[in-house]
Amino acid sequence: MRDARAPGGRASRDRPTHYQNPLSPCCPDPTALTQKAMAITTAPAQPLPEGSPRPLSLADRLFTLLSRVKPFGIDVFCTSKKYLIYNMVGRNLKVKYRRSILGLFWTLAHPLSMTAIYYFVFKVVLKVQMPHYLVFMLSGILTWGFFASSVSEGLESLVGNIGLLTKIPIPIQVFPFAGTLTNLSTWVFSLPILLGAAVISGTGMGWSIVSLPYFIVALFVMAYSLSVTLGIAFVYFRDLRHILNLILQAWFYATPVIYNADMIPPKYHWILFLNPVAKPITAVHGLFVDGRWPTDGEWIMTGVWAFALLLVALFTHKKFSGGLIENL
Amino acid sequence: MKTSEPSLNQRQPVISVRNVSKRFRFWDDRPTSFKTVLVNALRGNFEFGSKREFDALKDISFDIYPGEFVGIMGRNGAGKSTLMKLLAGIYQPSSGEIQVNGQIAPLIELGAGFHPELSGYENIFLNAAVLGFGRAATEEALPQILEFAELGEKIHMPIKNYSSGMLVRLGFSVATHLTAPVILIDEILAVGDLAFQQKCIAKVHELNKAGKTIVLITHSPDDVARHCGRCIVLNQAQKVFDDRASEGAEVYRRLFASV
Repeated sequence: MRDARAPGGRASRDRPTHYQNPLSPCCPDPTALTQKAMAITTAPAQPLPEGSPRPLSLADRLFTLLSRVKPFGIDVFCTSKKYLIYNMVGRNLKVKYRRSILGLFWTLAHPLSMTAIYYFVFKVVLKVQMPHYLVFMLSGILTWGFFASSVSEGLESLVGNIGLLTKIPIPIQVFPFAGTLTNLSTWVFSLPILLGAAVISGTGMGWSIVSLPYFIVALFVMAYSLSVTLGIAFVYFRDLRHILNLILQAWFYATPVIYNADMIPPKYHWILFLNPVAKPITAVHGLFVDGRWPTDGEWIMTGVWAFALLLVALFTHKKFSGGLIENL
Repeated sequence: MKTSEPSLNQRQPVISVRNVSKRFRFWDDRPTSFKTVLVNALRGNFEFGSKREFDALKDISFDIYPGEFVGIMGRNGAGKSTLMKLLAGIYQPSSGEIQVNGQIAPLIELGAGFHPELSGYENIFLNAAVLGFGRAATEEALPQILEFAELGEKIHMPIKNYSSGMLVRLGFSVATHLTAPVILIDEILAVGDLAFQQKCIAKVHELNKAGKTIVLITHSPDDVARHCGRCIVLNQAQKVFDDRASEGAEVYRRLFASV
């Protein structure tokens, strides 16, 4: 160091260690205080000793709860593979958006352009009279899109990962889980657009929007369960690819996505109870367009269907996953 | 391995294979008519086409103890890879029992889960996660992985631009720096250039010296004689030899000298 004897430098160096601020004798030297503070902030974080209680956040508690759910010994929510799921979803998103200039926009472009087309057909040509029809369709198409593309991709989630499944011991449900989670994150990215459209359009959206996560989580469980079931079935029946495309096409029109459930003649309303995704979609419509709270039927049927489909997936997994890898 | 430890064979085996058989079923690809399938289904028979069975492994038993370096040899189709997948837990045995004490790292393929569009650096984390390691373990091993892979600045390039040698280096580096007490290696040493092969074998030796148990599948009796302490020879789905490596290599040579 060069001879940097700044004025006062000597004085501060010569200062006795027990120096006290003459202005307020009870207080310690302010420079010493700063140094002390510096020492505290720059000290390496002491690692918590093994097994010491750490304050648990709500997410931690939920995670611990989910990790205990192991029907038939199946780790349904892939909690033991948390880091793998994190990496796989990250990979899916990165690969999707790398090297494309508009990136994320492309994923949203599909539902947005579909909305524009349907809006033209139904509002301009067929002159459907419904308030906030754009928000209505946008919320329906984005939510249906999350479900349908998860199921469609889930069908091939096992056969498509043959290279990994035959080389590494991985629980098979990891692939449909990561796939559905990827689609869920795309839906979450589209949420600002949806909320923005609802605000600009001046819909009745209000506090009832807090019930949205229930329906999205239920749709997630449904899509994931169907992906597991269909993914396993696809190993044995390759015809399913063609059948599923047709079914999803018909299912889209059988679900009140772009039309209102009230438009269905009352004598056919029972169909809505047989369609797992009908109730969650009408509930989502209600949240964004009218701001009404979900009806009892919507709460109950959504939960019942999610649970039922999960049970089917678990039974299929339990019965057929044993010899699956060698049949891939 | 190092027989300096007298209590070697009194220890608890890390892998215990008892009377294990593996039978595969094949369905002939001959297409059956929809009518036949339907009639069979109505009779409660949900099998399509004619079924053939084939034994990949018959009544195999052995124990592997901590710290051993075991070579498994056999011709193509002798059941080596099936045995490996059974040990790794990818297949379930048709009969018999396999007991594994502790964690196993199966290296059946290098760079499992690599994605061509992602950089080498990103693929390290992906590969590690696929192999079952968490973030903390990966980050701890990261400097050594990077150093061993010798990729320099190229580590941030998408791996689709890598040469096959570079890919192998990266995959091997991840696989050997994130390991479990038991490592299963399936013919992955026969890749890369000669210098790197030697580096790999040296690395495997180093791991073994550090106390890891190694099970190595190979076609080369020379490799087995040079590196392994013990050798298991499989022939036509059965175990025909299980003893010292140098003798095993001889058995293998004699068995297949005529072909």
